[in-house]
Amino acid sequence: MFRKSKIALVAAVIIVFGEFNQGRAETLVTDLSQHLIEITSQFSGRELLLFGALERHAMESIQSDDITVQGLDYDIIVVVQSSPTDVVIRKKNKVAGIWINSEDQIIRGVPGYYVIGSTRPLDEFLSKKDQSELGLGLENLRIVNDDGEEIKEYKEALIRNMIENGLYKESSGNVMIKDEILFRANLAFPSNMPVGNYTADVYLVRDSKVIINHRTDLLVDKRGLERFIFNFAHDYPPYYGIIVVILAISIGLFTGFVAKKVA
Amino acid sequence: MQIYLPIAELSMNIFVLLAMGGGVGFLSGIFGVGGGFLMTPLLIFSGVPPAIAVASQASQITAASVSGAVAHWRRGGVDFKMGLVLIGGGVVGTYFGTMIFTYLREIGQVDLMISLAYVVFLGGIGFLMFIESIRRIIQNLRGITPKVERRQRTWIDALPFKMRFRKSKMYISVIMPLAIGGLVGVLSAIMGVGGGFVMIPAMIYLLHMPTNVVIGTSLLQITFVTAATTYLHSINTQTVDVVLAMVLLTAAVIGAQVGVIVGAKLKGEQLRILLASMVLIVCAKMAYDLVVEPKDLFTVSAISSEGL
Repeated sequence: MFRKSKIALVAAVIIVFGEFNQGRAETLVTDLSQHLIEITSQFSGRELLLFGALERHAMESIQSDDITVQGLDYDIIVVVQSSPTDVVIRKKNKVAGIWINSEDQIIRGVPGYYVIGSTRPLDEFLSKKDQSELGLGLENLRIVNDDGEEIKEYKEALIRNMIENGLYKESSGNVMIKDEILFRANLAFPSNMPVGNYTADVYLVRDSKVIINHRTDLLVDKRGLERFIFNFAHDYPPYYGIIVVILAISIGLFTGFVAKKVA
Repeated sequence: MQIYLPIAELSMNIFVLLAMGGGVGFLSGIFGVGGGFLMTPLLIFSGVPPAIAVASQASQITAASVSGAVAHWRRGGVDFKMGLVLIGGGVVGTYFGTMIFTYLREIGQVDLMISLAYVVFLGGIGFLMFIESIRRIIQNLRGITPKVERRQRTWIDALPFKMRFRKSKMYISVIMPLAIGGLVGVLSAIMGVGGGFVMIPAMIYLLHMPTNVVIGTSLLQITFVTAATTYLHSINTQTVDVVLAMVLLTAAVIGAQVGVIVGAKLKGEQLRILLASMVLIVCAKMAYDLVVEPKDLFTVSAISSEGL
């Protein structure tokens, strides 16, 4: 069964991990191929691999008749989201013949990035009620204004807008389970992903019940020059402004000088 | 090849940016305008947030204009005294312009204001220029040489605080150039333009400056006013993306040098009708977007970057 040394290593982890979960029938280990996404000047999005292994505790359930059936019933849900942020959603209305922003709602605590993937469509293996309780899926994001009201058209607008910008995504069939023990999901992050702390949650589902969930952290941060520029612009605006102006004038003058020599 | 813009927080294709910068720089060299009225809509259309587009490419206009200004200065086409008066008005205008911009951004009306400003100013100026150019061309075709009329005295000549501008051979009140400079400063801050499309006609039709110093002097003023815009936006909104600006302006200054050479070979009327057509096209596009129902009535923006 353990054909590769990598798998053996994962298995070793599972066994150790399993010691602490005697009461459960399964254990789950997950990890990301990288825990830090560095945004550099060439950054154009990044692909990460979320992978892991699950073990069915064959030792314990060996006598159980339904072990083979169990094995076939696993489903995995993966949710990657950034830490919550505040947004303002504005609605245009036609005023005197032109379209003007005339209504708005401030929504606090929504993820700036939310991607959910699973082995199959969620509805096929998890009840609507459970999905809602666990906050799984775009539909179950808590999008309310300061009065705690959820306004349908604003919620739909936010989700539509974020999907269009590649920041929200709902898909299924993109989490693969192999040999009933290994699973993997390719995560593709767009270049406009917000910086900050992210979490990757993995839910293991069997018999329409989430039996285990496991969270992995991910940090997205600007690095090197990009980080320096951003911080400098926000911490020392007057110096930043002057430097940009000096650079602009120098480059302009230099080119003029060169052009004069060339011409 | 993608390049990440640290302030805009997104990545763009560097060749697209270079092409946009070079193209707009070329036009700026030909017409003596900063090219902002093309660049701002182009950037917004490419997905750069409007506030970042406006603030970042002000510095691009600075660079394009300073090389253009130097090129014109070498040919004796800059009235420095008039330039100083216009800059004085312009810097004050920029100060108020960035204040208006910051306020409108907070209440979510900055995009509307940008569009309206484009429609009103580009539409008005473009229309006047277009009519004027057509009139000239028809006159030329009929072989009528426009009479060099002695300029009519108007209320402008009655204003106080007169000053002598030797280079332009004028003796006029400073109030008018100050006011024009101030208006251009406001437009620079709120539209991300140099304001050449307002200043050049104003210099020709209101101040009656000699055409040979108009473009050089306007470039001088644009250089300083857009520098002030860059600086004030850096302080007030932190929306100046230095990477975006540097890529655009490096391409733009090279384009501008080529543009100056080409522009010197074209006739004044041809230049004006070309510029007028471009101004009207951009204006029509802006007006169309205001009137036609948007694809999505809702827009989402992060609060942290709006300063709420």
